[in-house]
Amino acid sequence: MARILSVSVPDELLDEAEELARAKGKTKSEFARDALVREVRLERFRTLQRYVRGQAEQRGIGPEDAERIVDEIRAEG
Amino acid sequence: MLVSALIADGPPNRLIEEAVADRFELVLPTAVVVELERVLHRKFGLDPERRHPGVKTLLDVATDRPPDPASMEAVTGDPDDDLILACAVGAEVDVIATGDRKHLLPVEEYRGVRIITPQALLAELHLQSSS
Repeated sequence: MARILSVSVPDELLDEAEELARAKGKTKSEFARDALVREVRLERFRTLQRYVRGQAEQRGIGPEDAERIVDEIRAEG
Repeated sequence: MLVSALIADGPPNRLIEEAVADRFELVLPTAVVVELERVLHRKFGLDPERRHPGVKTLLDVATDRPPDPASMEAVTGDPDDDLILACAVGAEVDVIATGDRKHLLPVEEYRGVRIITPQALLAELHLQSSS
């Protein structure tokens, strides 16, 4: 089901968005929807990052451990 | 690369953000996502019964391709990495971005697929977007 979101944006931003949407062959709605989808996806991924980083800090895991961790998981089967 | 992208800021993390922004097509074999979820569960305590929305993002933006059986060869010394190579060949990807210096990066190129670091791929993408 699609619902309608009404958002107010500054004139300048809307003009620029319309221009960019036209250049991409998209409607304003498609352009705005794509931007919203991207932002939601990014925020979901960042939520996972924040969780993993918090856990990594507590467990003393750093970026240099990434390869070892994958090796251990594979060895565990 | 996915584990690195989650642990710290850097090229792996920026590559995921570029993939979410549709700057390139990300191919993630199911086996890689399954492995990531095992890491998240066993090393970082995530509930294995509930898929984290961040993992859902990866599944939303990535294409899954099964491995090409004809490409299943012992190349890297690790069957899991051989599977990644076979998937990459089957999906006809241009590059594999990996931080695996033990098995994948030393191969450098396999059946037309280049194997490079996330940093090198990021540099290539920036070069393409600025040209």
